[in-house]
Amino acid sequence: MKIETRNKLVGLAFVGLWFVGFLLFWAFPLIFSLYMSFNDVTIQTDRLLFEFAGLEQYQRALFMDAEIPNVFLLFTASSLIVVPVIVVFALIMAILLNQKFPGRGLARAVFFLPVVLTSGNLINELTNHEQGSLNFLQSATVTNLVTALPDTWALAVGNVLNSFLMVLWYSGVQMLLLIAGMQSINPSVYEAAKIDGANDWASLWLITLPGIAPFIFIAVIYTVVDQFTAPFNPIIDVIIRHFLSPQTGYGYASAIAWLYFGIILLILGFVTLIFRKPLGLK
Amino acid sequence: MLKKYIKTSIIVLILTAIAAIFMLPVVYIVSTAFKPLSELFLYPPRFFVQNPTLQNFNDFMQAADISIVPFSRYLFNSFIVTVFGVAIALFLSSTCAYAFSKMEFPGKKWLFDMVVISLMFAPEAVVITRFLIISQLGIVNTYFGHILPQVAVPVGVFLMKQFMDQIPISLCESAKLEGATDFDVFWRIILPNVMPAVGTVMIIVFQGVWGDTTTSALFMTDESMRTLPYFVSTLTAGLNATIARQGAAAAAGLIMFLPNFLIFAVMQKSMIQTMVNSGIK
Repeated sequence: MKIETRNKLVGLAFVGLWFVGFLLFWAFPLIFSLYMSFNDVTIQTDRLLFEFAGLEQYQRALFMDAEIPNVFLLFTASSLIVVPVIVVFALIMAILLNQKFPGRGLARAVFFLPVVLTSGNLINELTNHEQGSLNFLQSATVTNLVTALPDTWALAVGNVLNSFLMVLWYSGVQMLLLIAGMQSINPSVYEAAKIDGANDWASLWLITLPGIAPFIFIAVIYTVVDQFTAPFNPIIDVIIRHFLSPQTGYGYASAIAWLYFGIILLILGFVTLIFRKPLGLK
Repeated sequence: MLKKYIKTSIIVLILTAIAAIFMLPVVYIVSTAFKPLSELFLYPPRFFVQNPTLQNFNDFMQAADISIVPFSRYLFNSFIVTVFGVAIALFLSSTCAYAFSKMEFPGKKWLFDMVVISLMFAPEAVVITRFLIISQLGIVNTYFGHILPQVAVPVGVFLMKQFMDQIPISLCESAKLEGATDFDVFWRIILPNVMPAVGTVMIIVFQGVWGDTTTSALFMTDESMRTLPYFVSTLTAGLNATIARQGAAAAAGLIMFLPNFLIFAVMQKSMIQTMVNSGIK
């Protein structure tokens, strides 16, 4: 056997097992839901009945259902604010946590704690009890500021402020990624820069940030995905409701899911475009 | 020297302030578990418990006593599902990420694009099809039904591949010249260098599997095959939503949180420290 053929087979072997599971529980369900979105699906006692409906479900979601475009717009607008806020916050925290100071180990532990907290049940418990919002949001200045903006954005900004604590809690994994990125930079680079007369600020911009660009990119992608698939997400609520509703059913719910998916894809495309240059992608 | 001292104190000060905010939810969970009923229903809710009591834990024990299936069974199921689910998911996603990062095989780019795409799809939207597949495979009411849907985690492969991409391929090639097999390279060179990713993925997967109620609710019809989070979620649902059960649920919240906390306490150290001075770049 030629060595290249052997290498290819070994590669496939490493991917293989995982991929079987992936095909069964991700790829196939995804394609199947795309198929359902072009059909009217009715549930019989022993099977599902499909009736081809073309783009009807999509038209209904976009032009006839008043709820869908609204929820989409609102959520996308607030995500466009939340995602940069989370990443920048995580970046600042990562820079701070990467400094040498007494109690660093403890501090890091505290800041990764949100990662274990953001599992669905706990977050729900907390938001039910209003711990996710802060009292200062009711103060006059903030209210005035928000009402000065156009409606959709005012609502979006309001949502963001309301979920201020949630923003902090959703930055755990990103901090971890960024710290790992910073530690992959060789310390001798900093020493060399120092000898050449660079101060901390200069080495932050010229060494650290370019060095961790791939990790910032991952952090942004992770944040987008995390936000758009979070359990408290209003759009997912809508999707589940339509899945369970006898009037609208699987077909309609799948169509909404795919529309939603299209939006996420657009946003991620946009993110990749921004990062094309620092990452040296073509 | 003084300047450095001031800088350090400012950092510590800022971090302490933010850390205090971060710790609020933990304090809240612990404090809520010890609240007597009168305080649980207080509006507006108080943050700290005034008259701590163990009554909620008693209520929880009683609820566990009269459940259809013994409490220990739920716990045992959760244990099996979590241990195997996390172990298999970690092994499969790291080997898969290794192949994507360091090997050449037909369809590689196309397959990885699929992984990234499925990353963006909410699992809720594919749950119906998963049910069809689970029942076709005939693994309803088995541990496989719990574990298999959870082991192919796209986010695990994605994160690990991005970390492995940072390791130069020349390192793997020189190891192979010295006679290391592909698995040796993966096990002895790649894995130790991506421990932060392994730790992160482990925590993410653990949370997903440990807290999951959908596999129990949808793929299990036999009550004795269901898991602890499902039992906890039934405490306050439907006919069980009595006032006393609210207390039991508050106690259950703390009990469910503890393993999360433990795994975190164990993993976070290795997550942060192994990357230091590994000298691969």
